[in-house]
Amino acid sequence: MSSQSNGVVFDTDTPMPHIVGVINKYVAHTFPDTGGDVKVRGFLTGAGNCREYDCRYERVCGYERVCSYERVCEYDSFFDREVCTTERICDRVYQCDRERICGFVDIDGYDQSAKTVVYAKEHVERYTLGSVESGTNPDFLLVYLTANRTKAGSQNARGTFKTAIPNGRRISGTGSTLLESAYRVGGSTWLTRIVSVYLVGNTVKAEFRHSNRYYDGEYTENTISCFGAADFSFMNDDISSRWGIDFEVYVGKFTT
Amino acid sequence: MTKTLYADGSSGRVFIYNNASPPSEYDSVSGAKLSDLHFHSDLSYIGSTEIVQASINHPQRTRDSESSKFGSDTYKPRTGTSDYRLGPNNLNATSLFVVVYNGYQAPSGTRIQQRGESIRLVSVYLTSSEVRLHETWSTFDNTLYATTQTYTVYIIRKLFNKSGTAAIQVNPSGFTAGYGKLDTAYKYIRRSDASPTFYVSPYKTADVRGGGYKVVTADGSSYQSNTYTGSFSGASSTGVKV
Repeated sequence: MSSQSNGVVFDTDTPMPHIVGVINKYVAHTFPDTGGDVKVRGFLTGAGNCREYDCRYERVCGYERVCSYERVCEYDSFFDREVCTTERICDRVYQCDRERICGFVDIDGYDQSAKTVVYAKEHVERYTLGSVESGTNPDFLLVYLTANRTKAGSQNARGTFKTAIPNGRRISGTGSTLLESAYRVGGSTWLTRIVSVYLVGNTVKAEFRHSNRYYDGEYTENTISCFGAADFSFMNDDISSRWGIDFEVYVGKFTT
Repeated sequence: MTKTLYADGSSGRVFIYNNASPPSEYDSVSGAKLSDLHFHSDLSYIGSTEIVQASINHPQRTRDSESSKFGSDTYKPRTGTSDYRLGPNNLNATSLFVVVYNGYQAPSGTRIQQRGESIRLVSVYLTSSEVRLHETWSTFDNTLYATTQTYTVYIIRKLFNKSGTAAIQVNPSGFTAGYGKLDTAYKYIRRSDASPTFYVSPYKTADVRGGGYKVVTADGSSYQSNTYTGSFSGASSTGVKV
């Protein structure tokens, strides 16, 4: 069957694709946090980087002239009475005391830096989206996704994992879709997350797959700490992500 | 081989099958009988494809860096998104579509540019009136230079619903059958092993392992990151012509 404007429209010798089933399903999936650590290194900075307000007691000794008044009395036989006078008596005395002396002094500090490491992991989880009638034996799928990343995994030094999936937009999800990725200096991919929609017999499956190799970061966050080790716990990377996806699957078959 | 065309004037049902069995066997379409059918008006066809093609100039994204106290550069990650109009969507927001990125039937979220750790990723999406491209870019150790990429989007009409009352109708301007399911006004997608427009498949087109990934698209194109350690080789697909 053909038309002048459209050429051949239909030919029994050419199989035509048609849709034998439409499957709609929402799946929420959490990619796991694979665990990691923060490694810290440091060295003494030497005096001059840090100052400390310091107080100490010092023993201070010296001679002092110590004077006192004494009442001196004598018996006056002429008047038959006792006559008293007050006399000032002075002496040199060697004396010691403790004095509190305070001020800023230079001290050693610690120049510290830290890096994160993330442990390697392979993760896969599969969901059944639906099935078509037994015996259909479909030939292809056309898949559309409306996805939302509700929690983004991230690295302290790099920010959130990169994705080109626009939140809430309807994109093609036929075959596999690259959800997230992360890169090392130089460009090597060290983490990738995908979702694939595929057929097993007459059943449509969605597979969320994650892979990351051991990530050994670069030392960053140089910090001079004057009083003990700095706290780098804020650098701990949480690489878990959560995705909610509306799957819209057109199950197709070719006619004979 | 015998081929039978049957039209039921009361139901409007029309079908063509590859044998001489009584038509009643094909009144209803069941899984096992699908392989006998050339056409059946109860099936949902796809076609009347609209093609949107556009070249997009993705602008330069400059890295952000500063000198450290140790004399070397330290880099700050920069990231952003942009959306571009590729063309009109003359069908609707729920139409089917297939995207060819710069000549490859690549998956959504595909990488179109990378320099060191700096990357540019894209996905195509439909709105009710437009075909649009979403770009995510991220710079770290390198500036991403401007790049021009060509995107081709095949927007496919779902010919799922019957219309009209004619089981078969022939007139000088066209032919319709099965309440409009078979219509010379439509251009149906058909299988084509020679020079297909694009490919369809029921299989995965990517795998991840060792932190890296490998993509084997339905059109057979293949690329992978240098960290991929798996053995994914893709799967067969079928070419179709618009």
